[in-house]
Formats: sequence, structure tokens, C-alpha cells
Amino acid sequence: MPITGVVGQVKWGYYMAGAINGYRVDRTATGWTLAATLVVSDAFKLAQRPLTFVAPFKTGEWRWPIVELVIRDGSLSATLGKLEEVRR
Amino acid sequence: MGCRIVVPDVVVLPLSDGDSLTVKARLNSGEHREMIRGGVSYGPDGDRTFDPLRGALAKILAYLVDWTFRGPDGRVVLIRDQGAAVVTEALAMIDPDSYTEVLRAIEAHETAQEADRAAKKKTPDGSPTLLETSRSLVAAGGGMSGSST
Repeated sequence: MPITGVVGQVKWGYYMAGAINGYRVDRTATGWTLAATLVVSDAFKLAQRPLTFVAPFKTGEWRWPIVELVIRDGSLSATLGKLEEVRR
Repeated sequence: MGCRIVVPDVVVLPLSDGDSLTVKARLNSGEHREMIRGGVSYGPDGDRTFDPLRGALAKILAYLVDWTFRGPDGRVVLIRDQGAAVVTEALAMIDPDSYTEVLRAIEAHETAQEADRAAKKKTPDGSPTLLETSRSLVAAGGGMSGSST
């Protein structure tokens, strides 16, 4: 069962490296994968490491470390690490 | 040769009543310029003066990343990833003593990290750094140093 949503961010520390409008996260045998549409991006910050994919929900947010990242024509695909859920 | 890029690390500053602030460990040059700019007021003739109240707010906005402050509903007041306008409004809603506590904590953090950097610039035997030498030469030549603000 994939996780889908609209608003997401790629972060380098507390900086927003990219804004996402529309994403899908799938669980695989070895971890997670992300497919998303990147609508705003900062090339310098996207080139830094480590990056984190952040998907907010009503009472918190899910965070995944980005292991590998490919951006092509505004489409972002990534391999993600271990999910962390942050509740507010 | 060290890295001159400011890595976005954060520091958690404890406050009273178990609250805390998450602040930037260090500002980068863009954030520093924005902080300086935020403390400047422009008169009717375009003359610039430093406004300490605006400067204090600009310093908080520059450093503050998140906090644990809760609203009347018991939920954390959301400031993380919010724009300056939202954070400014949230800061305006807290009581004056808390605002002062936030400012003092950030000022203390800034002072501590400046002192830490100054200590790291000193060579192991305590001899002056290139920066200090340059300042001395400027002073000796009757020049001026310091910022333009």
C-alpha cells in the first residue's frame, strides 16, 4: 500500500532544498522508494548531503533520509532510508 | 584548509519550565546580512538608524528554527518551516517575559559560538592569527575596521 500525498519537502538540515507537489512512497523489500514532482528547487542545497524527505500530516510529519536521489525534468525519484515519525 | 560553507546544524537551548528552543548553530552570510538589515529603520529622508527592538526581533528570526511552546489547546505552536511573518506573529503572541527569555537565550548562544570560533582561530601556541594581525595593521595605518551598520 503506497503512501501518497501532495505537499512535501526535500531538506538539507533546516533548509528547504526542494518543494514537492505530489508524491508517492512505496515500501520495497529493502526499504522505501520515493517518486515525486519537484516544483521548487535549490541546486546548491540539493547537491549537499545528507538530505531528508519530509512529508507532513495533520499532527506531525514523516521523515526519511534520502539514500540516493535522481532528478530529471522536475521528476524526483529516490531511495529512502529508515522512516521516522515525528508527532507534535 | 577548512570548509567555509555553513552546515545547517542546530543547537537546542533549554529554557525555564522545561521548554526549549532549537536554533541555528551558526548563521551563514546571507542570514547574517538579513539579520543586520532587519534591525535597520529608514527615516523619511532615507537615513538609516539601528532600531534595537527591530534588531532583537531580527536576531530571533535569524536563529530560531523551532520551539516547544504550546498554545492554549496544548499543541505546539507551529513555527518550524514557517515564513518570517508567521514566526513574527507567533512571537508577538507570547508573553513579554518569555520573549525576553528567548532573546537572552539566543544572544547567549551567539556570544558563546563567537567566543568558540575566536578560540579556534588562535594557534596552539597562542600567537596571533592572520585576522588579528590584519586588524592591527589597519589600526596602525589609521584605517577603520568594523561593520558599516
